[in-house]
Amino acid sequence: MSGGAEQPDRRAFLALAAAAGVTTAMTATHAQAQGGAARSAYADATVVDPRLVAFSNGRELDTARLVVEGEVPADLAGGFFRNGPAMFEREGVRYRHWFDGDGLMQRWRIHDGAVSYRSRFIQTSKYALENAASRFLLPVSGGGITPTAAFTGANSTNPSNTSVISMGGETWALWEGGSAMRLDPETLDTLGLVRWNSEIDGAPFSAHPRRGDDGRLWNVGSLGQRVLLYRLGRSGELEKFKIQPLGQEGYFHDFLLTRRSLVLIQCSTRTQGVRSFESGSFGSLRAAPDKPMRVHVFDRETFELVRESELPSGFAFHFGNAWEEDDGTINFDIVHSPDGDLMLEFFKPMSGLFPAWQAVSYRASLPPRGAPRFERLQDRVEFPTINPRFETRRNRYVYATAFQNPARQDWFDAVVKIDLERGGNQYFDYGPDWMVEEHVFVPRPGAQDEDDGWLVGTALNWTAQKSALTIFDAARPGDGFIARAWLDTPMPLGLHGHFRTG
Amino acid sequence: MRRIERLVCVLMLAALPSCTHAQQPTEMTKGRYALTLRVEGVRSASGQLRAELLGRSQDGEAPRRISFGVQDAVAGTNVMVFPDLPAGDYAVQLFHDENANGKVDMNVIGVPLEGYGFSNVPVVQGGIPPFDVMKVSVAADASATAVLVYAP
Repeated sequence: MSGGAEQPDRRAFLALAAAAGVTTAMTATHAQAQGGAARSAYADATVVDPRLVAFSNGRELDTARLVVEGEVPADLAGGFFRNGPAMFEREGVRYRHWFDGDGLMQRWRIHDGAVSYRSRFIQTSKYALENAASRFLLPVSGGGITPTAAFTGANSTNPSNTSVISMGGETWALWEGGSAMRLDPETLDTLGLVRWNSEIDGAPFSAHPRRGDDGRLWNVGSLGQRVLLYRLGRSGELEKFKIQPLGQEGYFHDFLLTRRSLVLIQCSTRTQGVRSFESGSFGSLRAAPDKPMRVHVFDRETFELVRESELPSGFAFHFGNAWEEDDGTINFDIVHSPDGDLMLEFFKPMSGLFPAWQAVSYRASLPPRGAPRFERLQDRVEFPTINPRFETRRNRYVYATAFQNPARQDWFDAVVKIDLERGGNQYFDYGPDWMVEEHVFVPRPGAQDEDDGWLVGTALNWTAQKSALTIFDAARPGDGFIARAWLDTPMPLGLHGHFRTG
Repeated sequence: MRRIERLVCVLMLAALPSCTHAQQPTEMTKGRYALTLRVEGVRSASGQLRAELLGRSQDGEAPRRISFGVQDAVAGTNVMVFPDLPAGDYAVQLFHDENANGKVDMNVIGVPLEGYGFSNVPVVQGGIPPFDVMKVSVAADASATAVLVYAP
């Protein structure tokens, strides 16, 4: 069915409407009241809690030369890009879910030992309309906004706010419900939606595409009880796509790639109640503790189903890496939460509360037959990343955000280097003033060893009310950082980052 | 499936040759009225507007198709006339066949890739609204407005 047309159906069409958080049975006054209430709770909380600047509106900024502590490595050159939701409030109305904010692309450019900064809102169709109107016109996934602009499907509400990759000469900003957005990596100007052909124009393209060692890129898109599988060539051209049934619903955000397989893992969730526009699609996504997580292994060339398996009930946003043995055993790491209601946690930041962080990192091994095996690696982690040259290969290290102070209930205060083979994790403790975002691995030019490079990431210092980029020797993050570049202002906490070399 | 099937139904309009415009009421059509549809938001003069006039069905199920109209698109506001109608409730659904291939192009999950709209619906919200939302009551010559929406 690759490249073939599927009959359009009403269910799918309406599913998109529901993804946008809209049904025909809308009660506008109720929604406005909810948006207003969340804003007021947030406004009250920020008076006493300066950490909540982490969830305030971001802004467009250019800073030519940041104040640098330490010495930026001379052979580290490129841009650290970070995407994330950053427009949460307009005219007194505040979104209800953190993941609904419009995407702000930030770039910390490192060159000749100096660091500059630029941020730009991604000019989606939604952002342009709402910016012109100075108010929200369309709900995203968390509901609560009365739709007052026309929409045709998910791209009408696409906030382009989740992650970022390099594709040839372009930077792509990704969401998961609709198309990728093309940006100019130099100016951060928005160039337009990624379009391949009319069949999949506007279809969901998830936020965590994975690159094979041959440079090709694989991705998935959620269609409810089905999945859209993609393979792109090295320059971003569409090589193949196919829709495969999953036999059940179940949320997924990330997936895994090995040299042979594409592994999709569905969370233990089901959609409950009416997907009203007050609750949005996220508000109706509920734990199904009776349901195991469902693993679907597809051949990465043919997209045919190879086998299916199960993992313990729960929720997983992210995986670090997967690699496959000759006998078909698939080894991977997973950040797994027993709480299937994890998506609901991220309503909290919009009303001035912090999400509960319970997810645990496990090393998992999925044999061709029989039960999977697990080894607990690290409690309370998120945002696992690896040396990108080791994707689909046997990796020894995973980097993640973590907690060093067990009393912290707000946000990550550390980065961890997890050693999958010998244990003895290394930590860098940012300290009590910091809220730590995802860090990414940048290989040193000419490096062979897996941990020969830098770990680069951003964090928000809430006492100084400033954001900063910190650079570590990735072999020894526990020894302290090499350099830190300070912005003179706070930026809201972002989601995923990417380092574009050069 | 009904709503999208109806949208797909519009797709077949191209195969039918007749046009509704340029007809004038005559003595033969006394007691019959014209419905004038003002179509706003047409983004280009490419291709045609293809519209389907719907009437209430007897059994309360899908509205039935009464007639259709096809005319070359003009950027901005277009006027389509459905003449010679007995008094009653009507609705219009239409799309802008910009590439003039005679069908409403959709992606694999059923999102229209060409502009579309409905009588009495100033702000399209995804799929095809219920008949009563789109309906125009015709007891004399009547008019209604549709505003097209295009996928981003």
